[in-house]
Amino acid sequence: MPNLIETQTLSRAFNGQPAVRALDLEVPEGAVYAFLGPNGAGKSTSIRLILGLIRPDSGTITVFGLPLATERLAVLRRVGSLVEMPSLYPHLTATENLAIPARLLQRRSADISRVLETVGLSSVGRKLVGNFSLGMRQRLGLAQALLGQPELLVLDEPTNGLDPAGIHEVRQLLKSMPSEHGVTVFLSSHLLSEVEQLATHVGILSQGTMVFQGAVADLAARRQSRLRVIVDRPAAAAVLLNARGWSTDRQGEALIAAATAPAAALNRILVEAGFDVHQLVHEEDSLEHMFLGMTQSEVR
Amino acid sequence: MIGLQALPAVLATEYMKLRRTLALRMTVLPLVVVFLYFLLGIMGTSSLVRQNPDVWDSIGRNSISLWTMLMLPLFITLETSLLAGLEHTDRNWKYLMTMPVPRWTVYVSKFIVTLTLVAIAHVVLFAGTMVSGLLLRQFAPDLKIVALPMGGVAWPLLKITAAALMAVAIQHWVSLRWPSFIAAMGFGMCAMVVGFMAVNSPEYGPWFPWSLTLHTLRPLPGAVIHPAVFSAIGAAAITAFGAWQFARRDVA
Repeated sequence: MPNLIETQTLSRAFNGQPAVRALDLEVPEGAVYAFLGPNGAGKSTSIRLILGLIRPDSGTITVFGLPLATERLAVLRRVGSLVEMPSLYPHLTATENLAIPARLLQRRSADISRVLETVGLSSVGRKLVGNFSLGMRQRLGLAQALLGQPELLVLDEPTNGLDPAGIHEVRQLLKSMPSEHGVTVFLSSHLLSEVEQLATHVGILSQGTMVFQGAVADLAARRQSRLRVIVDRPAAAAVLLNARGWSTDRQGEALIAAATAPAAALNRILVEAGFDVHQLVHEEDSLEHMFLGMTQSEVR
Repeated sequence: MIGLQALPAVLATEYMKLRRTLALRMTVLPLVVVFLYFLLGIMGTSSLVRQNPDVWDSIGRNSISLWTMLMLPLFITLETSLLAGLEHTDRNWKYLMTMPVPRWTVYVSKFIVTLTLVAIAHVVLFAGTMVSGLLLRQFAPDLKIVALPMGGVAWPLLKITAAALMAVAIQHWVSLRWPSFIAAMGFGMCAMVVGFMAVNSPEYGPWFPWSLTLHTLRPLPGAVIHPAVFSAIGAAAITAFGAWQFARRDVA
């Protein structure tokens, strides 16, 4: 798959403080790419750079194979975006709010109805946005992003403010974008569950630097697994297992053995030696654990 | 859409945003002046309307003077601040600037919208003054208003509109540059006060943007350029610079 977004050694600082450092981003066409990172990692700055809202101090940005620096308008014509909170005019109705970008994107009123339907706001199209809840505003922001039938969606925290049902709907919508509409989705999030359920690719950012980038499957392959054993006398059990060639670590009342250890054999050794085995669980690193490991080691 | 092709569409969207806004409703503000002079006329006692034998001329001149001196600078400050506030309030710039239109068209469109609002206010002042004259002719016959020549009101208002261009251009730049409503209002108020002070200065009066509208009513002797022409040239230069700068700035 060719890359739809590519940045090379992209950097940007604010008042001498680097926000993004030598970022090499690669978003494949047809992907749902999740951009992860703790607050202040540089996600929003990266998104603003990609949308041309701010200029880089150094480095290049290419979108659809076009250099953003010289082809900004040609790129933006094919991009739908939602940056942080939706940009809306509270004194206008939902339909009127959409009529503004529709005019600039040369779209018809049928397109406004279409996107209102897509985000589930058809029934409130004539209501003033000032009376909308946070979730409704977020949906309308998504409708704005979808209005121009973009080939690329760039979304900053798209499920912000939505209730669980709304989050589920938006996730399903975004998930279907590549297959049903041929749209590549690039979204930032700090919700790891969102990434696990939604993304095909992931980039993890820490202090402005990319610490991991690749397919979610590649990230999963990096997960470490282990056996957690809970026995009545862990110290004695550890001595026994070590004597039999299984190296273990103590973690509170539990023993942690390598995942390669055959669970059944290990259980038999302990039971035959008179230990009570209360639990024997195969554990795998969660994405959260990996995320924290990657981002906190950078912080340190 | 590129360049000038995009301007009509961007301008249309700026007009769409005016719906239900205070900025649009404020264009009836000149009716305050009209109503004041109508009351003075109907009461028939004020020297303000009897200072010359042609009462209609007096009403027209005084209405325009009061508007130009006291209310127009305030009106320009409020309108530019309110229009910029539409984008500053919900940080709408970040969406607007991802639209595939040149940024300078947004800046220029907003300037044109402000000018439109000033022009509407002046049409309201003109129409209100004419209606007020008709009513006074009907209900205050002792004022002896016979004819209602439109030119005496329309022509000065046209010149004032042109002379206000530079003040609008500067205030527009300030309002878009800083998101704070207070900063824009403070700047406008200071400029208005300095404009009052500078108006009688032969050195600074003819060049200070907020004094130019008053100079169209009372030109200083020996002025090298008509205030309206100077204002239009200045407004073009400031808008060109503002649009250039706006197109290059970061969108927070």
